[in-house]
Amino acid sequence: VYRYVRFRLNNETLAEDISADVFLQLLESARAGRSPQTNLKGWLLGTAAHMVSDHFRKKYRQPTDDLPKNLAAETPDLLTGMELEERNQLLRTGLAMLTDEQQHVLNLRFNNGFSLEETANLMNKNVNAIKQLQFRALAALNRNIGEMP
Amino acid sequence: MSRELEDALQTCLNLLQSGADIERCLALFPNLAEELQPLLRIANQIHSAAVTDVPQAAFIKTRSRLLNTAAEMRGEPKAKKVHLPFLGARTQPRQIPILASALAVLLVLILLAGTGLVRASSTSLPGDDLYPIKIGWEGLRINLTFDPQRRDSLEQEFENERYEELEELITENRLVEVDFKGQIISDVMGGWNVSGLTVVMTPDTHVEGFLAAGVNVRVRGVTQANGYILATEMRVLMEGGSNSTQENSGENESDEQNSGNSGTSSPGETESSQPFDQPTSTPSPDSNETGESFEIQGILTSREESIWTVNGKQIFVSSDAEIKGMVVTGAELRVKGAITSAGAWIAYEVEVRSAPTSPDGTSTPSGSGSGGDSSNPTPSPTEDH
Repeated sequence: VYRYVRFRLNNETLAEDISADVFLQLLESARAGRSPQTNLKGWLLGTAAHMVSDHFRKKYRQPTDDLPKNLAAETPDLLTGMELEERNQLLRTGLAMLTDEQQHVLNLRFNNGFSLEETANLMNKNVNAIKQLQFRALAALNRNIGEMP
Repeated sequence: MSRELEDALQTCLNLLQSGADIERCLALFPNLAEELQPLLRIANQIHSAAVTDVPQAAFIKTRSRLLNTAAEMRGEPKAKKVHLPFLGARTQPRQIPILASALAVLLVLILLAGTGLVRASSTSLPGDDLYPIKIGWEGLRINLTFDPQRRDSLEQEFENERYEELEELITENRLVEVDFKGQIISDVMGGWNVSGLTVVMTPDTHVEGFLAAGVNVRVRGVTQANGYILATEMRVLMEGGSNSTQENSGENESDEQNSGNSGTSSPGETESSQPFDQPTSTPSPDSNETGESFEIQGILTSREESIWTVNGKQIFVSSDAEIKGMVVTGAELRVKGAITSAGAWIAYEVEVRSAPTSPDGTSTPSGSGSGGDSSNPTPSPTEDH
């Protein structure tokens, strides 16, 4: 869960907080009798995705908080080297411009390393739908990055 | 066409995952290479930017918040409270009836069932039903031992037992609230090595005093499944009187100090009721803080860099200390030094009294017996000093 959140946020502290929130949400759901009965992993990662999206939505509402600028300003501590750093910032900015579902599939596939079948299971879709979604997500990301100055 | 591209992309992704390069993948689909190439490159880029490490802090934060929330939901204490009556602490008034009841029950049971129950309780751990019997029996044994040397030895034995219990709790992944005293050996990521136990701190951990290697601390926290103790409180122990009597009369006792059977192999310790005025740096024999001197003779049981354990007491041996003889684990040493106000034992002279006995009963040569090489901070077991 942390890896998922951290990949989308690029902010260590915030990623820790949201990861913890995901599990607290699970606890709350269990208490209310709404805990996942079959696909716990999918539930956790899905909840993480929603929480990250909520976070970005809140940021969008703040006029002074421009997302791409803000992302670029956050500490890029994943890789070292100016080029890699710049490339990663472009990548994250491009990713942030995708739909939630597209971000979700790329995160699960390439960051968390789930197979096509696992991703399909986690997203409650069939394998062909994931293939299509993955293809469209990569194409859109490529477009987004290509259009950046 | 789109379906064909999606399938080709997936095939290439599978090949990349198994170690092939992009060019080789593209060679399989020459008609689609132009469209596939940017997608594969971007997939590779995402993969190379993947988050692989999960910091310990993330685990700790999540676990801590989860446990607290769960406890609040239950409307119960955060974790089962088990007070470890460590030597040198005192029983607070509200604990006396509990302890007294436990002792009364213990005596009755002993009368009725002989020592069988006591024997059965000997392997119990904090949180177990038989644990109070074990502790009560230990208290009885100490109180009924009038020979000071024998009493010291018993106290030391029980103190070691407490550490073993903690280690066992951790090994068994049991979640139990614990309270113990120890010496900071070194810092570890996100916390401290306290007497060999990893104590992790969170932003919520209450700290009193200046934490540094060599300092004696009292730790309260919860054992965790990951092999560490999550500290809720760390308090530096100040050097107080030289025995439990003095300790017992101190004004700065916390409300949970217990049992007056202080270990007399080390000076009595009292908890700092307020933060240190003078933060302690890594202790050194030249420190002006050195106060009471000590001389201890015993077996060297372990040596981790500058922290040596002699008779269960952890002593900081800096590079300035004079080493006489060849120091090996198991050797009998006489250590002279001073104790800082923060409770750190600093050696300025270490003398090998006798070499450890080998399994065949022979004694390992103990070296020249003089001429310690003060330039070497941690003499190797084979070195002659």
